[in-house]
Amino acid sequence: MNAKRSLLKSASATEVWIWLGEAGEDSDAAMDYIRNIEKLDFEDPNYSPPPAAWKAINLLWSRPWFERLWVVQEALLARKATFNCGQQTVDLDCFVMLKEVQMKYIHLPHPRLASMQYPLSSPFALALWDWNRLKDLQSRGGIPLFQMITLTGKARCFSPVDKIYGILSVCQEIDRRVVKIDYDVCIRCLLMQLAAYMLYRREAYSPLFVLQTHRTNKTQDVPSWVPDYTTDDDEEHLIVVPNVEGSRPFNAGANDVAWTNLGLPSFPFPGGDLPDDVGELFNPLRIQFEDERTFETLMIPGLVVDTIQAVYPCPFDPKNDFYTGPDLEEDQRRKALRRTIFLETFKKWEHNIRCDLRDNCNPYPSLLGRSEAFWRTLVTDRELEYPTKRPASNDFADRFEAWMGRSERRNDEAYTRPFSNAAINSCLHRSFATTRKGYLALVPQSTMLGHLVCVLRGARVPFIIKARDDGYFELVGEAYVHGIMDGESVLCAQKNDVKVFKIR
Amino acid sequence: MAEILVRKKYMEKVCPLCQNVRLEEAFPVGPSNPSDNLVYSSLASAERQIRLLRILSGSEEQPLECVLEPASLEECQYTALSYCWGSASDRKNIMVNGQTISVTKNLENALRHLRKADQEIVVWADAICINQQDLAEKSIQVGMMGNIYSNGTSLR
Repeated sequence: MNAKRSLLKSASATEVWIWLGEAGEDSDAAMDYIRNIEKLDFEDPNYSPPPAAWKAINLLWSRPWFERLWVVQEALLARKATFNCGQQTVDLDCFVMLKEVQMKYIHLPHPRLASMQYPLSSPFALALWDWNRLKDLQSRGGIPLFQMITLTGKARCFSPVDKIYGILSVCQEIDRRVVKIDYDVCIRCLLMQLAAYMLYRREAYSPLFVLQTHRTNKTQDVPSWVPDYTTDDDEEHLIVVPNVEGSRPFNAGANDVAWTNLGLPSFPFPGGDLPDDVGELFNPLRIQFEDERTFETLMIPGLVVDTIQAVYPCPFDPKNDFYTGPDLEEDQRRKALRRTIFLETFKKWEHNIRCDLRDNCNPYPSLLGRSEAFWRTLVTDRELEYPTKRPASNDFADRFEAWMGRSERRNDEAYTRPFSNAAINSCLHRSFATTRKGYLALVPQSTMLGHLVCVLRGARVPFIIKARDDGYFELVGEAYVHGIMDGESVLCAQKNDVKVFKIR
Repeated sequence: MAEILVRKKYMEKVCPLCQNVRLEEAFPVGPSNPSDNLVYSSLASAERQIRLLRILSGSEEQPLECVLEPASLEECQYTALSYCWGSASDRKNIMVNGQTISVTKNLENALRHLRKADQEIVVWADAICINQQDLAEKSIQVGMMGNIYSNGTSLR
């Protein structure tokens, strides 16, 4: 028996056996192609990827396995994994390479490579795209829980608690110690514990980032400050500006000194100076709850900066109007239509500002400053190209004018596109708003007249908050408010402006 | 009809934190009367036990026959399956420990593909190897998945 065992061990070929299902829809051709992907030279001008194989790959990719949540950790944990479909077997490494190749060439649509222009976007594909980095993190102690949650946002599972339990095995040991797997605990309690944990410890760079995520479409009945990680998170969140040379991250919450000047005690959390890995350090922001047993009400100091005066919704419903099919012409047609719709909308918004705001109700330097504030607000003052940079470069002013048809290069689409792409990306999930003091803002779609623009201590971005009649507050979501994104409102506040928001 | 009722069984659960009562859909795998259940015996969590499914050899037309038995995680050899459960209503019967249990068609399909004509195959498949109705066991086993999936070996 022992001899047999050791023999088996040395002969081990597959450790995790992935089953995509029976052969069908030309899956054999797809598997064959993927198996040999390493041998193909996509740079070779004489090589044209066979349309039939890529079509089959796209179909293979739409099999339900790629949508599932558990499979991400199962494949990541495997020392070696194979994909199996019908009688065909292909190493996971080949799938990693396929995704790499596809991502490399999808942004360079050359006629020769036209046959491979499929998005191949599934929840699992997101992980494949970043595979080597994830494996590396995992081998060095685990992938941060928050990264895994973001990565698997669209993945499906049967029970909502599995959205968390189904990824914990690739996370860090401390995550597993704090978020214990217990199927008796209900999803509401799990989400609240998780959010409190994130505020206490995770996201050292910006603990309040937790409050920025999952703003709308909650399906679980949780307090407003608790993100609902059981629903898809389609929204592009604001904190995407890296702290690199030539770029300034959002810092609406200013720094420790600014808050101690306002009479608050000094916190160990010094703005962006804390290292990413805080080790065992808990609660650098001294987050408090009204009742520490239930986590129902979050208490956090901050300022009311302003009140929303008018809200203009985005004209586009990404859920209905997005095209994700394989027809490239249809995709192009929809994109062009989207551009036109947004252009008309931006013209309307520009007109609305003039009607809403008197000339002297203007926190920006002169009316010219207001025009600049408008185009900077539309792109949340950043460029889309990776790595994202803030502020957006000054030539965006003319690209904007050209797109609006008011400058020489009005018909030059390649010239206006960097601006229009960035603006559409920022505005897709948001509404445009003006405030009583005349600030211009992009706000969550659920924002209403009379909601407050607030800056919370330790936050990178301002938040829209609703004041309830009973003295409590509700979080509506993150906002881009041009002119207070670098802590201006904290630096010029008075001691008695500071209040503790009880958010539930 | 009776069968449908059994499949759509709901379990009442109480959250230990908020004490709220909720109904959750159960996954009936074995017979509902625990004393008749030859499929699941309890696992020794202190010894880090898991259950492994031995797929007995057989030719293509034969029904699937398996043996489910406990094993110590540190000392066993198996192939870990990654598959999607598929539709809960689309089910097939397989024999486990001499009893008929119902699994999703997609899992039955995978097991059939793994089965060899001349030798046994040992696998770990969550839907069968974890007693889905025993939440305490499930909580422990799901916590061991990190080891379960990084330990798997192949019998090919």
